[in-house]
Amino acid sequence: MIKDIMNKDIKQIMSLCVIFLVASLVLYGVYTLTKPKIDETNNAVFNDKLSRLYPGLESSEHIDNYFVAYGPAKSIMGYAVETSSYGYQSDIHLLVGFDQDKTLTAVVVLSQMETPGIGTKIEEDSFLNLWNYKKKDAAKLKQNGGDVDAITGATVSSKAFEAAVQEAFTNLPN
Amino acid sequence: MANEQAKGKRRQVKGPNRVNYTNLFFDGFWKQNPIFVLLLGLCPTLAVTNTIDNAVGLGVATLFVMICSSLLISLIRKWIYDEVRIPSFIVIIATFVTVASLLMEAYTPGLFLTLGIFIPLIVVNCIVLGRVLSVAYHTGPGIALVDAVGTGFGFTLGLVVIGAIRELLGTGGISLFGNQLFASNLSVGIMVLPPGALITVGLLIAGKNYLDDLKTEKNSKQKHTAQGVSEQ
Amino acid sequence: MNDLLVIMFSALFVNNIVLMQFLGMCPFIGVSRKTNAALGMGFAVMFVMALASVFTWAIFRLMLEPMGIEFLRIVVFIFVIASLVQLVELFIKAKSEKLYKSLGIYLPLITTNCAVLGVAFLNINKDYSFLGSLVHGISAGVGFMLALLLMSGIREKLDVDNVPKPFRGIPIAFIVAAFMSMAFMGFASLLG
Repeated sequence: MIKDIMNKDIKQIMSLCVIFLVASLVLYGVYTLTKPKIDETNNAVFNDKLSRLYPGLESSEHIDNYFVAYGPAKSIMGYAVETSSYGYQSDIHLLVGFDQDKTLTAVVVLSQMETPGIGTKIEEDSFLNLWNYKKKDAAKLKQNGGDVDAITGATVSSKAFEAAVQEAFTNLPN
Repeated sequence: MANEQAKGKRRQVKGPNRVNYTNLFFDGFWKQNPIFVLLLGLCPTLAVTNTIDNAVGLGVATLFVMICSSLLISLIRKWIYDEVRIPSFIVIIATFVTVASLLMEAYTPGLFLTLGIFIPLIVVNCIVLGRVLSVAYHTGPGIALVDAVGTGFGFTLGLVVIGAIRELLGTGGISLFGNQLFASNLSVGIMVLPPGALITVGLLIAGKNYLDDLKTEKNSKQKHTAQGVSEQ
Repeated sequence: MNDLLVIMFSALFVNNIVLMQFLGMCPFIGVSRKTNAALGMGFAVMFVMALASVFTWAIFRLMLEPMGIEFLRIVVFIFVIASLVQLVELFIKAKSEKLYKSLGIYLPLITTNCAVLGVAFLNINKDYSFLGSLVHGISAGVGFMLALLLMSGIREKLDVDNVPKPFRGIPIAFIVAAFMSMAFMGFASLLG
């Protein structure tokens, strides 16, 4: 009797293990097949954003916590830093571009999931361009002594944007 | 001879059962709509309906998982032990969810980012598990497939309706995968925020209840007049 | 310490797991009619969430990541949670038949509670430390219980009130939840 019960339990556990194993193998297969495309997509998205900061970008290099943007003949076009800050309801990931004088040249939003129509306005050129060619102290919201107008109705998102930008300044090399 | 018999059988199966399949499919839409009737899958319903893109994205992903899971489980149901059926189902569903997640990460990165954790959360969407438990485990692949497709479409349709309302009222326009179909200055911001989701779904369910009540009243009135006539 | 407090307040109020992030809606609508059930469910979920956060974090950071098999996380996490719920079920059954009976089917349903799996994933996505994950799990559980208790108080009263017929039961619960969510939105600037 006990043997019967044991057999039944073992059969169930075996069947579960088999399913688990098959699942793992299938997933490993799918993962291996899709990984190159995933990496490719991620790189494409990133390089696309980076080249918006540096038109004419040829290649880039990741050093420590910043990126070096190279133009033709490995000439340094500038440095870019990836930062993020929590906004109203999501993490706001920015790629901030600088030239060699530590002046912010342009900002690009990598990802955000703020309120559609309100917080998402931080991705609009009308807001992004306000940050162009600013030195550290000017790259702040007007209410904090800087030059940039916050988006009406999206104060939290704007503040988070500023926080991320300021953090980018601190991550620059030398 | 065997072929003719087989052909005859096939024709027979299509005959009366064809009606069953259509009924089954439309059950998933209205009578047994997973969102508005069964109240399943509420978490994604409220969270991803802030834009139509997200609603369609998650709906299709869920549909994919439902079709694959129901089909596979129906095919191998003889080898799944009753006592460990729930863990078995969960592992199988989780596998398909991972497949969907990897595919989305590779081919629809924008959608992958905005849907975030709600893609892996498909695995605990009660609709998927519910369908598998009540239908796929006990029936052949044909019925399981139609059931999955019907319910999945019902779910996606529900998501899109809610998404359309929220996006239209909240941002004044409708945009589908980058194409702005409609725009206006209307902007009831709350609609694309959490409270808006709850209000929309609450009102829609109330609306459906109202329509159902009207229908039952109509039916019972007809019954009474019919009874009255027959009693005379 | 500051980080942990931020995580705690965020999960409790600013990003309340139910009313703002919409995780755990099914049990929220289903169990929130009576305060007793809400309390019992809340505690059970909090317990499972804390355990799940800790175990899934450990398995991911110490096993999946080093071995490069992060893609197995969905399967592994849900399996861990299902097993934990099973264990908790056996534990409650052994300790208190009464509690076990009153929780009924809602206990195994914790497995399909989006909140538990959701919190486990958030711990990884947001790069929380071990302690951060634990705090997140507990706080999210408390936040869940908070929302559930608030809701049950209101619904107990609504059940004896004169609600228009189409709205009775579920729809009015949604509308009430909408107002609760609006109230919780007021916490947005709590963390500055």
